[in-house]
Amino acid sequence: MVTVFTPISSFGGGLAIGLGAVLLMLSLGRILGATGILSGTIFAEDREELKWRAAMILGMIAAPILIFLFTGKMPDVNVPISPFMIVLGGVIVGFGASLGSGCTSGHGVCGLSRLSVRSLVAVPTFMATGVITLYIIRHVVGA
Amino acid sequence: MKLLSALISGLVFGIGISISGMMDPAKVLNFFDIAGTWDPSLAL
Repeated sequence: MVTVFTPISSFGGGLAIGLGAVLLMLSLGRILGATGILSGTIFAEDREELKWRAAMILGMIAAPILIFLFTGKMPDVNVPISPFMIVLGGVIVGFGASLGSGCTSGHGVCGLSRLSVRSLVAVPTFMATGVITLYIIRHVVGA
Repeated sequence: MKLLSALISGLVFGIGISISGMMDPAKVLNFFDIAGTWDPSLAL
């Protein structure tokens, strides 16, 4: 399906994503890696670590609800793939984030801006893999 | 205080994900679909 080109809101959203990461780094000295924060909440190693991660996730969940309260409109969510592919993709992404020591936000938002060398390797790798995988699925297999 | 900072960081990050369009799987997929229904919004 076609989606609308939204340069202004996507740029503004990008600013907010970066601001959120900077706030976390300034206040708690932590890297904002969404996958790590989620897994650190589910498999918590100690209570203090659990608390700030849970607060962070609560904030993330509250965000679209707050947007709805102010604008009366929920952000678009269209899922053009099957539940099986979502689960399969989730497992592969989780495996990759563990193996690669970080996810899209950890490497892409925080790592790149800190000029981390491994993020500089990780981001082009998963971006290119994403393009190739989707190309095969959509245009070769034709799903 | 630590918890409030984490909550606000999560909120700001979540607002960013929402308004940028990254909450929408169709938009994220189209960012990667250079050969098809490409939507480069998320490059910004």
